[in-house]
Amino acid sequence: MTDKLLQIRDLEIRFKRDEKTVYAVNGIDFDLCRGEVLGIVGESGCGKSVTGYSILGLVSGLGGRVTSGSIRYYREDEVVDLASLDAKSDAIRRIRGNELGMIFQEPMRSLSPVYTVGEQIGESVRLHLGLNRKEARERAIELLRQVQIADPEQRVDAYPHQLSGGMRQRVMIGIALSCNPKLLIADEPTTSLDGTIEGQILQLLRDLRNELHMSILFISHDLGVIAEMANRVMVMYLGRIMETTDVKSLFADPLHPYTRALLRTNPSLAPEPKSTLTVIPGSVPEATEEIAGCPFASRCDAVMAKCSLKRPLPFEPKKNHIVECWLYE
Amino acid sequence: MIPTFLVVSFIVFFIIQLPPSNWIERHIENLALEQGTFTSERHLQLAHELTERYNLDRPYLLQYGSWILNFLRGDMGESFEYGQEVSVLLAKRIPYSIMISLLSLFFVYSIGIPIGIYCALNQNKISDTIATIAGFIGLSIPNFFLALILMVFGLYVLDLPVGGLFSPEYEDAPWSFGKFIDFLQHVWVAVVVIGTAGTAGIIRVVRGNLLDVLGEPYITALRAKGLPEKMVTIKHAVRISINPVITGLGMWLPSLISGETIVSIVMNIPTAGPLLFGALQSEDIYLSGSILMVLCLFLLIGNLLADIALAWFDPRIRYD
Amino acid sequence: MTENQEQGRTIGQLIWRRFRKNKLGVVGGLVVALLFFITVIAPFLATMDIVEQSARHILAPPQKIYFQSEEGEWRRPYVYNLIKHRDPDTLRLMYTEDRSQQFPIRFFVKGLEYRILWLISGRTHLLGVDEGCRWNLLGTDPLGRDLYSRILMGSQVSLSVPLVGVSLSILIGTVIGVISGYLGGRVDHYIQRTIEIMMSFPTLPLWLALAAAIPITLPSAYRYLLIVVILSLIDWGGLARVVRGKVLQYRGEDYVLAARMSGCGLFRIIFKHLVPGTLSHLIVCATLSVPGMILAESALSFLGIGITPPLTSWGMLLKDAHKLEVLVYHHWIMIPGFLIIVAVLSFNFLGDGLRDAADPYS
Repeated sequence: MTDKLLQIRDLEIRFKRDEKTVYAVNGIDFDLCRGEVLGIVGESGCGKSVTGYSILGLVSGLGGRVTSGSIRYYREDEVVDLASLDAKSDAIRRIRGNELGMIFQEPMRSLSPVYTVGEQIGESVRLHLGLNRKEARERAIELLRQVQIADPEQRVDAYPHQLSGGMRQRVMIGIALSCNPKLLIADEPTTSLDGTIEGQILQLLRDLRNELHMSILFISHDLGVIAEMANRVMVMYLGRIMETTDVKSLFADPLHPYTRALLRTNPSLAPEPKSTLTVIPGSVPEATEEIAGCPFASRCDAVMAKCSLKRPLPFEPKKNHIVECWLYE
Repeated sequence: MIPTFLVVSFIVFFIIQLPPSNWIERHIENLALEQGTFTSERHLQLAHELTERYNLDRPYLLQYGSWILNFLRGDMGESFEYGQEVSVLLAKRIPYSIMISLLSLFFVYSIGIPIGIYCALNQNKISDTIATIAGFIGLSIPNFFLALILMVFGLYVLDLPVGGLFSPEYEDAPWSFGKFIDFLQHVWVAVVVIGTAGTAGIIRVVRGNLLDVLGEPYITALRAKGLPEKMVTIKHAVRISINPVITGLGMWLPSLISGETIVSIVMNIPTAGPLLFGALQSEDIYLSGSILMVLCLFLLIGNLLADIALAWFDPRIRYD
Repeated sequence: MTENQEQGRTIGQLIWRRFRKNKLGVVGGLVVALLFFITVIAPFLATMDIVEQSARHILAPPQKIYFQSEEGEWRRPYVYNLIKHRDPDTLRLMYTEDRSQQFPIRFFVKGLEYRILWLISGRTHLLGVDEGCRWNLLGTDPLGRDLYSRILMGSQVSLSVPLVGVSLSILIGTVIGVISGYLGGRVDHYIQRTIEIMMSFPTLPLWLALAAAIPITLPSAYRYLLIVVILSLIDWGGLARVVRGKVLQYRGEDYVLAARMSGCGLFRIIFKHLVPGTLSHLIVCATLSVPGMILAESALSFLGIGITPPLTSWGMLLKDAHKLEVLVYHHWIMIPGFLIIVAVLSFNFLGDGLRDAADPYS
């Protein structure tokens, strides 16, 4: 049994939108180990959420396709390539919500409005663990308690619209954890929550991770949240991974020009404090064309001629610190 | 509800009083034709009785008031054409109107909803386009025209009985399964005609709503739980999207009643429709007024039931 | 349409571009345009007087148009006269051709005088035959009147009633909607409740009641007007709601506040600012109301309480089809019904296409 939980290689994902092709993810490689919290950070449209969806085979339901690459999932005694499984097959259905769970950005729009919270949690356990109605209800109450919702015996019969945003997110976490998954994919889980609630939810996730020894793939555009939660971080831009390293190194010693620019825009995180707010010049280009060289070339302050021609290889200038940039050749 | 009822009843009262004529005179003349000429005394006496009964010498509002109160107590006046109490006449016909309307409703829901779901799940495929166009055509056929075509079809092609509600042998018999089948054979044309436009509408509503719901984030979240696709669609998506269909019921009831009225006039089925039409043409005011009131009452009750059904279906509304 | 410009295009142009993609809508629009064209030049297209009855030609079928002579040569198209018999066994009407004389179909024939749009008068008709032959393109009705010509003239009523009716509805609906939205408060509340009540009425029984209240003796033209008024009275509710919604929306908009602060009067604001923004929705609503009115007028005329002679409409022409035997053995009587379907269908497609083009997110 290896330490690895997920191994992703050469992943490419495309979407069809209004007769145009959107190149959401363009060849990424990374590993995720048991028990670690891996953060993916980047601006909107960089492909981080799509990466998360693709692990559970949810991309086709949104009009996309995994056009190449593999997503190897290391189970107890076998390795399954999740990318090769049909999105509607029983094989992937058994894994979803059971061994791999996911929570989403907007809790109100991610919970079914016509069933009670208890029924929705119960749905998962009855489906995957074969519990009957009574057992499912008890498990639901237990889970509500575990996600730190007060009065779980009352709340279990509430409808989503009767709960606050923070409580709904806890419910969603409860649903995702109901079958003790090995990995929790968290797609911007606190983005739509208020400050104090956000803090509580993040604390909850940390507590649960310690209790259940599960891995978390934490997707966010908020550098501060990533700093709090992750062990390792990947920075994505336009469907490629720019830099991968442990969280301390990323903030103390960012190597990729994009990472540096990103950190500069957030004054509290910048390695060298400045007096003026900086902006990254230009804007994120549309992902509707394939880009030959480095995707950041058009906005990079250290750009070289080579950058627009050839895609940079992943270099490892320091141990466990990988950068895709020609500066480090 | 109550204020609506009052306004509606007042409007009905106003409408049926519109035709400018002296119906008392006409009515007495009609009676005279049947019973032989009256002496001038008898004439006066009859005029007096009618005036008494319907408060015709009192102010307008009072007439309205007494009419409404009597109506609610079950005294709907007398039909001059038929010489019977209106309530008796209606009691014979209204139940059949209700039955045909309910059958049409059942027809619309049981055909329209499955087709709508199918179209949403097979969006833009050939079958969806065909169903959409068929739906449009269904909306565009005049009720009476479709009734004529189906009657011809039923009579000359399928050799089914046409006209009236029952065959002679079942006419006065007590209700049984056989009688019910006979009833269906006679009214299927009406049910199909009334239901056609409604079916077309429902297919579009269901299709549109389901497509909207399928684009919502919770569908992806449900898949992420590992639910089989069929369960996601039917247990959740359809359940959520069905709400407007229930509210739509309230909006579709008027056309259901309108449809039933005209189809039964065209096909000469003895329900409320032909009775109303005849009453309007012969200025049988209390008959026509009462039928209009009863129809409006149906609408109000129907809307109420639709609201209740919606609250039961959609928990979001219940707790508001 | 000047407030919002997107890449140099006005809203009107954007809507037109989106509309063009909707094939059904475009087809509907073309058919509607064709129908209106035919309606306007109907007298030119008609072949016979619509009130002329003929006992010798009751329920006659359309005559067959021959393109070849009996010897097989190609000729200009011609028809034969029809002679009426009664089948001795079934007592049914039969018609046989009188082969003694061929009547070629001529174009641009001189016939009855007419006026198009009250302006152009003329005597030339598109089609016709020489004296001595009765040519009924689509057969005759139970009184021997030419169905083709009656259908053409009937189209003028069947298609104008909804137009006038919808215009009236728009007028009433806009005025009330604006009042309701602008004044707000209790006035608004009561008006909205009234509209709700009105929209929950069963429309057909109401139409029946109102139409039956019109005295039978009223001249045909006045009756036409009253029918139009009745139909539009019951229909303006939806329009009023849409207008009111827009008024409420715009009331809070900054440019309206700015206009008021710079001294614009109430009416100026309404006409210069609110109406153009609502225009597209109004047009969509109006187009979608037309089918209902066509069907309503047909139903009323079919029952005999709509349009009365000498005017004619498609619904009225179908009255003759009410007797089933007539329908079965003389099926050309049904043609007006199919025309109604075509007209309603086209308006439905057109209205649907316009709605999707004007507001794709609704």
